[in-house]
Amino acid sequence: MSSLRRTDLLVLSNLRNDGRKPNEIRRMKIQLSPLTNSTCTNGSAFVQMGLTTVLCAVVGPLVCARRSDEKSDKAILEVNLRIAPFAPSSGDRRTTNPTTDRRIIEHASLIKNSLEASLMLQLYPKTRIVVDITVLADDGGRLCAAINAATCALVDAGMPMKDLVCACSAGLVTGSGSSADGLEDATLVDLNQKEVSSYSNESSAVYLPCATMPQRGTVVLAQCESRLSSVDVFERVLNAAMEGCQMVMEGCQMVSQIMEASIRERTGKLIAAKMGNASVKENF
Amino acid sequence: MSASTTYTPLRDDTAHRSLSTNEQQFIRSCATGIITKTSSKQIDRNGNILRTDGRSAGESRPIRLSFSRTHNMSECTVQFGANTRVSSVVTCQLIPPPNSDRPNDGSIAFSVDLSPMSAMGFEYVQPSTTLTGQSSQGMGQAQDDGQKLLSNRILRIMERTLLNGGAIDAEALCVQSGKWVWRLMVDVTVLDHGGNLVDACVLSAVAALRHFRKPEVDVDEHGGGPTVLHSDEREPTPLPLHHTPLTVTFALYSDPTGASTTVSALIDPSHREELVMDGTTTFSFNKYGEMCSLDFPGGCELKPRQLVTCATLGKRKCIELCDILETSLVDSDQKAVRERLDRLKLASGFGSSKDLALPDISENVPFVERTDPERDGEMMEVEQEGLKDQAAAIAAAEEESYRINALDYAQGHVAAKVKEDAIKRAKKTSGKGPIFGGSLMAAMLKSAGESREVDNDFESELELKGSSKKSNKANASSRRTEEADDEFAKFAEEAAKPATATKSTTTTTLSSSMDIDSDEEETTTLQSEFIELKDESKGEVPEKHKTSKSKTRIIKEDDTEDIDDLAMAVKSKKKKSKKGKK
Repeated sequence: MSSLRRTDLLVLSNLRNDGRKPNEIRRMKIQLSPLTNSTCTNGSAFVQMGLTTVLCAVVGPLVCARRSDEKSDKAILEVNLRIAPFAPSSGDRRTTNPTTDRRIIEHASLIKNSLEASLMLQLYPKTRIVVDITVLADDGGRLCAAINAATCALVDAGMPMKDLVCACSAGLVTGSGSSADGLEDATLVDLNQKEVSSYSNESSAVYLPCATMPQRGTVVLAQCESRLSSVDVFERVLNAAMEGCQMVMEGCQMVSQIMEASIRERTGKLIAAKMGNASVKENF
Repeated sequence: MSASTTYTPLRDDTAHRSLSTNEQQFIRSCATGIITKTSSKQIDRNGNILRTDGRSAGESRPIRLSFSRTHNMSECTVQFGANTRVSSVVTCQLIPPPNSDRPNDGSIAFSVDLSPMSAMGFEYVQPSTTLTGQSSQGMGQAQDDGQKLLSNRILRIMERTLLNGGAIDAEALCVQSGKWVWRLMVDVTVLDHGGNLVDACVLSAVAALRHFRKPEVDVDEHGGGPTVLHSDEREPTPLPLHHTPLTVTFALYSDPTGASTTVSALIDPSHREELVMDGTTTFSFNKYGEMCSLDFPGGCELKPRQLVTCATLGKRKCIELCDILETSLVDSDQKAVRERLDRLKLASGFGSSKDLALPDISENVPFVERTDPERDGEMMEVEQEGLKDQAAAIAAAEEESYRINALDYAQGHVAAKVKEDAIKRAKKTSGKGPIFGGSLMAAMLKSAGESREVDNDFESELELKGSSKKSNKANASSRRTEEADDEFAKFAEEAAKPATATKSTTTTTLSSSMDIDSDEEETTTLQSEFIELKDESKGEVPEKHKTSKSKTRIIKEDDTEDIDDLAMAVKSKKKKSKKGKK
């Protein structure tokens, strides 16, 4: 008898391997300004999505390192992504050099693009803004966590932005034909490492990390690292992706709510500290 | 890592890859369908868009594919419109399994080379590659991040589409479990950057993979190691590709004021459009309409509904592209199979000599010993069984055809000395010359064009002086170089026309012969002032195709010209001084 597969578990109990419902995101913890060295950083954020932990520091606006880099009408956004050697969760313990690992370089430029869509860079011409991201623990969804962390750090640094950029991943699992219940499309939100890696073996799954601006309702980044859905008709995949996007936006709504809550809390504390008046917090 | 300064990795602020402000505005307004005040229609963006090269928003450039295949190698060159050209080569080699915990898995390595010849601003960087164990060291050397990011993006999309999408199965590359597997190497070289490199690279890589034939392997049971059999000995097999994914790229333009979120999406952006775009999206589909990957690296906001619309349009385009690919694959496959059969026939001596594909020896070839098919046919029949002899026979046939080509002075490369004579003969026109080939000729002719007038004067001095000796010599040498010069004249005309790149393996000689007729008349009109000279030489025209004896004589005379050729600069000065004397 074949071992019980994830999809069967999903079918039976409608819960995922960590006990979540399909449309639940992982527990998120956001801490603003964990790094207090104000000469080195203007803003920082520490974000945990489930077990994935990311720390981000923002410095800027700064003078450009090379005059040839500077743009006369905008600021330059520089994103450095680093994965700590102790970070990967399973097996993958190669130390990756951030300058040569293709995936890291790609992620860094993706993060940069999605942040640029929201930052108002034209307010700081001829400068650069540096965003340094370090992934401390990787349990799936590190790109999304990195984007979230970068957003929070930018907010902490006081950069003007059009909207918060929230990122979340979505996945689609097609139930196998043999399943009695016939659960066809289980759309999952915020996949963890186990779910992501299992999808690399199964050919009938879709994995879609997405970044959105929830209040404007637009998608800023979407990457389908999907394995081919062999039997699916195209519309189904697209609908799933769209659903995934919707899910992601809902997930991002949740993310943004959490972010906003922590931002308010932080701002409140700041104001209280400056004005020495504890009652100011209540106005928020 | 310092990043490039704008939304997309392609745009950079270095002067030679950015556009002037009004050019940017123009392209943007074309792309977003906002027509300037002269027109009042600007409502339906995607419907009314007219791009700078005349295309509509959903139109892609015409595509040309050309293939070639030999033993253990296949090559495909893709050309989009006039400006984007990418070539990829697939080869394979036997290696022990690279992954010890996966003894049945072969490996596939992609590499992308953005060569400096393709675009200004590309520097020479080692091609970025996915070959494990060989970190992409070239990445650190590129001073230009835009190039680094672009090659990375192309590589990642190829990886994602072909490897992750399940097109190639690593397990199918196993030869002997645990001992020998194939490593496929797909090397993509960008020859010309005219925009939309992602699509071109993926298309050429996929096409080359489809066209590739894996050679058979003889596994020696007794531990001798596997031997790869030549494709002429045993028919090679195609690669087991589950499906053929192709990509479609959009360039996105959003409202710069940020007020509305309407977005224009252009298919197959050209270089300029890419420099101005706000964002880009790449979809990948196969001919069944299944989406293999989606890559939206941001830079531009999109509503989900817009993403879906792009995907639908992209799917349609991809399916068309798949059809184009299939038809050209079938054609080139048939051609390659035919060529292989011809080679085999030649080797084994089957069929009469007229079936053989040996090139005809034109009269221009002085000394050729031709293997006599009748005489050697019997010998070959006897030795037919041995594989070794067969290989030797193939080699002999190839050598012979090579020799014929090399000795045929009328074909292939032409030495500079011939150009010298050709210039002198510029005035004399006559009937058709033998078939010449090569773009080297065209280049030489172009440079010869400048010194032509000078030489013409020299020749006219010769004639006017009426010295019989000199004119005889001139005529004699002119006889042969007349032909050469006709070719030169033709190629001068051709060089003036936009170069049509025929990168297929069909020889350029065929095409040039077709142009010979049209260009003949033009050369006559150009040299109308030397008509009397032309009449003189007309009598000698039929003697042109003489026996090799006269050829040798002419060649000897050419040798004397050769010596003069070395002092060409001095000569031209002499001519000028002669002109001055007059």
